[in-house]
Amino acid sequence: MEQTIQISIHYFAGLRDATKKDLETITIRKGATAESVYQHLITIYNLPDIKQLKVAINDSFASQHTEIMDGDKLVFIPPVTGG
Amino acid sequence: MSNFFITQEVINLNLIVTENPDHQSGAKSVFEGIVRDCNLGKSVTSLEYQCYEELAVKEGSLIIGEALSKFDINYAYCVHRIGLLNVGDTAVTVLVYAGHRDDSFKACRFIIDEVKTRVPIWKKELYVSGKSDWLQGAG
Repeated sequence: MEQTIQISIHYFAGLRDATKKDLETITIRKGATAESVYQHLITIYNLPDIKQLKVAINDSFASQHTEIMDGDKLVFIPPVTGG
Repeated sequence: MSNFFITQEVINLNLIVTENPDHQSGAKSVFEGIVRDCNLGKSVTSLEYQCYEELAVKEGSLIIGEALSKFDINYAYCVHRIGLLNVGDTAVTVLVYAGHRDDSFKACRFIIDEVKTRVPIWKKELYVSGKSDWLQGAG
């Protein structure tokens, strides 16, 4: 049987509007990367291309190719517009 | 201790520690980013700022540290407000003390430029028309 992990995804700005969620917990297959999680999300929500986004795992910037571990907090970061 | 802060309160420059911290500084530079009433031809009534606070504080603190390393300055501070802001409200304040004006100006400019491109804060413009839009990329 395929092994799975649970992660939380936090949404901000346009992604929060698109998903209508601040955060959600999902179950995915073990070995998934940030990129593959996003590919799953765009089958559910109307989201922009991942090339426009940065990725943070557990409150640190990370590569979209990073493998996600059980219990990780994942955030996809739209282009920032502070100031 | 980090000198980068996120707040939901009104930023009042008078409440920020503005006293020359070491009396070694002959220059103090302050930048304030203020909500204006128009952008790209649209009339703006207010801005909503949203923030990924854990990473914003981490990245903002890195920027303050970089400014202290890169420039000959004695003190650097930045606070960014989030939530709903009205036209005329201060959204961000940068404060730098240095021995001389040149590095004081440069460090102040460096901090606000880096904050606008690196710190995960987003603003949504609310227009007179009733519509609203998340801005795309640092302006």
